[in-house]
Amino acid sequence: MLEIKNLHAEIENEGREILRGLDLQVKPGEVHAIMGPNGAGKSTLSHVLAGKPGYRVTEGAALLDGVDILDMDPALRAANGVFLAFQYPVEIPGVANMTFLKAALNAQRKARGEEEISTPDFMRLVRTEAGKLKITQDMLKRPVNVGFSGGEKKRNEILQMAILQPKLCILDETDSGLDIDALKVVSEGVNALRAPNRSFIVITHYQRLLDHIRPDVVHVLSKGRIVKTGGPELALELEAKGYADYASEEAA
Amino acid sequence: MNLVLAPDRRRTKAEEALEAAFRRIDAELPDLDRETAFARFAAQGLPHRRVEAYHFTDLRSMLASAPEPAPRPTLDAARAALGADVFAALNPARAVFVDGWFVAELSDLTGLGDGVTVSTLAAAMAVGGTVAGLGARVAPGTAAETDPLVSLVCAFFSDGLALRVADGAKMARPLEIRHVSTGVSASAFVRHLVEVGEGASASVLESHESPEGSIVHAHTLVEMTVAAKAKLTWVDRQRESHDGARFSTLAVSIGDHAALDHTVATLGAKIARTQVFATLGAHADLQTRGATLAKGRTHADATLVVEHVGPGATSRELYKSAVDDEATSVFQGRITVQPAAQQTDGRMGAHAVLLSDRAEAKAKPELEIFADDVACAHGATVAEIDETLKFYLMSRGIPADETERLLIHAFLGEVTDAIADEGVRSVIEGEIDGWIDGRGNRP
Amino acid sequence: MAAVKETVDQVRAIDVDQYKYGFETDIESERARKGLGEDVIRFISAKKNEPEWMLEWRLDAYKRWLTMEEPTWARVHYPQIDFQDIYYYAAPKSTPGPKSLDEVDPELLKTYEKLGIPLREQAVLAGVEGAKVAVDAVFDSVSVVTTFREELSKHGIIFCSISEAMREHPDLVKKYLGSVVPVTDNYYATLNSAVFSDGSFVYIPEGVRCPMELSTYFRINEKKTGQFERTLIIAEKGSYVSYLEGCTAPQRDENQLHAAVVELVAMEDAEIKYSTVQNWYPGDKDGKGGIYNFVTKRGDCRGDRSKISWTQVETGSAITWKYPSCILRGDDSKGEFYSIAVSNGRQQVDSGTKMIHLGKRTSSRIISKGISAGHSQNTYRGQVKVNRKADGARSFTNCDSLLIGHDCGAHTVPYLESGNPRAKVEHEATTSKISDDQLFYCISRGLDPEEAVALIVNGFVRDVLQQLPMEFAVEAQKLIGVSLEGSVG
Repeated sequence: MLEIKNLHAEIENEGREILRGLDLQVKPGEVHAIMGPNGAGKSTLSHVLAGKPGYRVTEGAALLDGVDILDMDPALRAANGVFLAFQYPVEIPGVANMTFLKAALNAQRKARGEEEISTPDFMRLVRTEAGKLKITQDMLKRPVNVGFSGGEKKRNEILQMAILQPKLCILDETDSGLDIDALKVVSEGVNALRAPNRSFIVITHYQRLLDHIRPDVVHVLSKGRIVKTGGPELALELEAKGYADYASEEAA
Repeated sequence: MNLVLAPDRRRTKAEEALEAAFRRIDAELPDLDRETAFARFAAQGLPHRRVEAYHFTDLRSMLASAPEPAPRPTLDAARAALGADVFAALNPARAVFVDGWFVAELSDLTGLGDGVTVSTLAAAMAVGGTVAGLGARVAPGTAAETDPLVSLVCAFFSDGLALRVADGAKMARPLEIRHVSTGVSASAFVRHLVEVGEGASASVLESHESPEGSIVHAHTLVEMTVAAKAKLTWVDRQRESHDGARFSTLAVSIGDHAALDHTVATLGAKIARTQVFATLGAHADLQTRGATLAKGRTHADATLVVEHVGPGATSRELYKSAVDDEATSVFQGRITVQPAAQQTDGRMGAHAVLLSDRAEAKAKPELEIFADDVACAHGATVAEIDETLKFYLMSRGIPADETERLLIHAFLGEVTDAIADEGVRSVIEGEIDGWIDGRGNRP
Repeated sequence: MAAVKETVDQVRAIDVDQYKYGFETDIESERARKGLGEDVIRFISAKKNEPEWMLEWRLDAYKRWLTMEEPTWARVHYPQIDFQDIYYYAAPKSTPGPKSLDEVDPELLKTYEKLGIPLREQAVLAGVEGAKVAVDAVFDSVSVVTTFREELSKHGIIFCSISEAMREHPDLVKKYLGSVVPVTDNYYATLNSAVFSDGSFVYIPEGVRCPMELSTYFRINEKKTGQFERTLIIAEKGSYVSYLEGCTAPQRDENQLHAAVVELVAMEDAEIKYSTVQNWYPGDKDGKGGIYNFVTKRGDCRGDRSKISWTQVETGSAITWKYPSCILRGDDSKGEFYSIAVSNGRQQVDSGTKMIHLGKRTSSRIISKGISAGHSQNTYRGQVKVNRKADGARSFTNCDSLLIGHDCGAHTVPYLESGNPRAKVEHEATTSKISDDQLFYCISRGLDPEEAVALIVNGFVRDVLQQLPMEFAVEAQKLIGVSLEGSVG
C-alpha cells in the first residue's frame, strides 16, 4: 500500500531538516501507530504525505501502490486515496459543509474518471454516515467547521473520511482535545472504516487512543526517523516508561 | 458665458471636452441652474490625488478623455441595445434608460400599486415645468454637495426618474431602473429623485450595463429621501464595458426610525466609482454592502460617507472586493458621529482579496467621532486567499482552480448572504459566479 | 493599584491650569536676531563652528523651504504662524562646551530637579555613581552636558551633541544626515534642516549592545524661541540601543514652535528602541499658549532582520503633528509603533505612523490608544503600504479611542495600500466611552469617580505602557493621570 523510502524533509523558510531518512511500509488493511516525543516530526510526516505547502522534500520517495505521490498536488493525492484527518480542522466561513462534501466527492470521482454522484444518492449517503457519527442536520448546513466544538470538528473529519472512502487514512493527533465520549464516537467511526483494502496511519502522543483503535504495528519516531517498531505492546511500554529514551533534540 | 477652469494650470483634454460639451448642451437643455453646477465643477476641475476624497482615484490623470454626451437614440437602436434582463425572474416594473434617455416604449411602469407615482424629468422639463426638489444643490451641508461628480450630473443630466411613494403606501412590485447603452463612445448623465413617504415601503433594482468594447462614461446621481418610519430596499448591479467608466452617486437622507437596505455589485468598467452619501436621523438604520470584482487593468472605487446626525441610529457597512490581474480596488469609508448622535452603533468592514501578483487594494476606513456615548468600529484586511483553507480543500480532492473558485465565492458570500430577498440574492450570486468563471478571459 | 493611587494623588495635587513644569530658568542667553534669513542661518552655523559643507546644506534647505507650502491635511487648526516672529537660536551663555557637571550652571541643574520626571537621570546629573543612564540634555537649542561619555566610548559608542559630531565625526554625519528624512521631505523638516540648532548623535558600532539606556531631555525655555533639534542614531550590524526622549517646556502665553527631525538607521540585525514621553505645555484651558509640535521622526530598517520600535506617550503640546515611521527596507525587518496620545483642554493631536514595507517578509505592528477629554480633538492617522516586491509582508494595526466627556472628538484615519498578494495587512479600530457599567462597578467597590476613570484608563493603555522602560512607564502613567485632570464631571 504505502512505502516510504529514506524520506528527508525540511521547513521551507527555515531550511531546518525535520525528517531525516524515514522508512516505513504499510500493507493493505493494516493499522500503524506512530508515536514519539514532541518535536520528533510526527505532524511533519502527515503534512508531507498530504502535500501541505511550506515543506521541502530533499530526498526520498513515498510510493502509494507503487506510484510516488510526492510530486502530486494535494488534490491529486486525495483523488489517489490519501486522506489526512487534521489535528486542527480548518474553519471555512461561507462554504456549507454539505456543499463542501459534495464538491470534494465529485472532484475525486471526476479525477478518477467516474460519474458524478446524483443528488439523492449523495443525500442518502451523507444522512447514513452522519447518523452514525451523531452529526446533526444543522452541522451539515453550517459552514465547514465554523462554530463547531473540538469534538464536532473531529467527528466531521471522520464523516469526510467515511464519504470519500480513501485508501490511506492518516490520523494526525485525532485524540487531542477530545473527551472520553467524543473519543469513543470517533474511534468507532474509524473502526467501522477498517477494511482489507484500506490502511491507517494513526499519529498520537498518547497510548489512550490505541485502546480504542487497535494498531497492528507500532513505530516510535524520534529525530525524524523510525527508531523502533513493534506490536501493540510497544505502545503500552511507552505509556509506562515515557519517551525519555527517545528524547528529541528538537523537543519544543 | 465664459467659464474659467482652475486658472493656474492647464486644462486636461477631458476637462476641455467637458467645457466644450457644456457650452453646447447648456443652450439645448432646459436651464435648471446648470451653470451654477458646472461653475462649481469648473472651479476645481477634475479631482486629483491631492484632493483627499480622490486620493486613490485620481480622475485628472485617469480620464484621458470625456466623450460627447449621447443624443437621444432612435427606438430601433434603443431596442437593439436591450439585452437580457438579469432581474426578469423577479417580475419588476421597468423603467429603461438608453444612453441616458428614458424610452417609454421599452418600459412598463404598471402595477406598482396605489400611492406610487413615477414620472420622467425630461417630460417635466419639456413642458417647461419644474420638478420639485431638483436644483443645483444636492444634499446641502454634506460632502455630496461639493463633490465634482455630483456637480457634473447636475450640469449635464438629460433625463431621469422621479419616483414618489406616498405616506403609508407599499410598492406592489419592485421597480427596476435599467440603464443600457447603444455601444457608441459617449457620455450619459442621469439624475433620479426618489421620495419614500412616511411609513411607506419601496424596493428598487438598479441595473447598469454597456457592451464590451464601448467607451461609455456613464454617470448616475440618485437623490433619495426616506421619510420617518419608511423602508427602502435598493440593489445596484453594475456591469459596464471594461473600456468604459461608471460613476454612481447615491445621496440619501434617512429619517427617524427609517431604514435603507442597500447593496451594490460592481463587475465592470475600466474606472468605476460608487459613492454613497448617507445622513441618518434618530434611530435610523442603514445597511450597505458591496461586492467589487475587478480584473484586467481596471480601477474600482467604493466611497462611503455616513453621517450619524440623530441619536440611536445604526449603520452597518460591509464592502468586499476580489481583485485580479492588474486591477486596483479602492475602499474609502467614513462614519461621522455628530455631537447629538449619542448611542450610535456603527460598524464598518472592508476586505480585499488579491488574486494575482499585480493586483492592488487600497483602503481608508475612517471614524470621525464627536459624541462620547457611542460604539463604533471598523476593520480592514488585504490578503490573498488563505493558504490553509486552500490546502484543506485540496487535501479533500478538490482541484486547485475549483478550490479558488469556492473560496472566492465564500469570501463574497458574506456580502450576498445578507441580501434578504432570495430572488435578488440569487441574481447577484449568479453575476458573481459568472465573473469567477470568466476569470482568465482577459477583457 | 499603587500606581493608580499615585495618579490620583497627582490629579488632586495639580490643577490643569497649573502646569507642573511652568517655571522659567533665569539664564542669560545668546540669541540670533528675531526672524529667518540667510544671515540667521550663517549666524547659527558660525556659532556652532560648523564646517563649510554644513552651511551649504543649511542654505540649500532654506532656499527650498522658501518655495514650499505649509501642509494643511492634518486635522489641526491654528492661526497662521509668523515665521519672522520667532527666534531661531538661543544658547545658554554661561559655560561654552561644559566638560563636566561642575561646569554646568547650577540654575540648569535646578531646572532638571524641578522637572521631577527623570528619577534616574537626576541621579546622573547629581553625579551619583552607578546610575546607568547617559543623558544628553538639550536646553533650548544647545546640548549642555553629556554624561557617561567615557564608559560609552570604551564600547566604541559615540553619544554626543550633533554639533560636536559634525566637528569630531564629519564623515558619519555627512554620510547619514538627511539620508532617512531628505532635506525636502516636508515643510517642517526642511525648515529644521535650515535652522536646526542642536540635538543628539548616537553611533553604535558593529555587534555592540549599548550597556545603558541613552536619554535626552529637551526643554524650551526662552520666550518666542522655536526649538529645532535634530537627532541622528546609527546602529551598525548586530548592535542594539534603547533611547529615551523626554520633553517639557515652561508655561508661556505665546505659542512656541517646535519642529524636530529624528533619523534612525538600523543596519543588519540591529535594533533601535526609541521611547518618547512628551509633556510640553499644552496651553491653558481656553487654548491660550502651548507648544506647536511639528515633528518628523523616521527610522530606516536598512539591513536585513533589523528592527526599529517607536513608543510614544504624548500628553503635552497645544498641537501635535507627528508620525514616527519605519521604512522596512531590509528583508525580515520589523517596525513597531506603540502610542498613547492623551488630549484634554483645547489640545489638538494628529499623530500616527507610516510603515512602508519594501523588503521580503517584513512585518509591522501598530498599537495606538487615543484618549480625548475636555474640548480636545485627537486623530490617529496612519499609513501602511506594501510594495509589490514585499513577499510575505505582515502588518497588523489596532487602534482604539476613548472619549471622556461630550465636547471632544476622536478620529481614526488609516490608509492601507497593498500591492502584493502574499502580504497580509490587517487593521482594526474601535471608539467607545468608558462604560457606565465599568464605572459603576469600580465605584461600588469604593473608588471615587476620578480614581475609577484613572484605573480604567490605565487598563486601556496597558499594552503600550508595557513597551516602555520601567521608570518611564511609571512616569507616563502619572502624566496620563495629570493630563486627564478635571475630565470627569
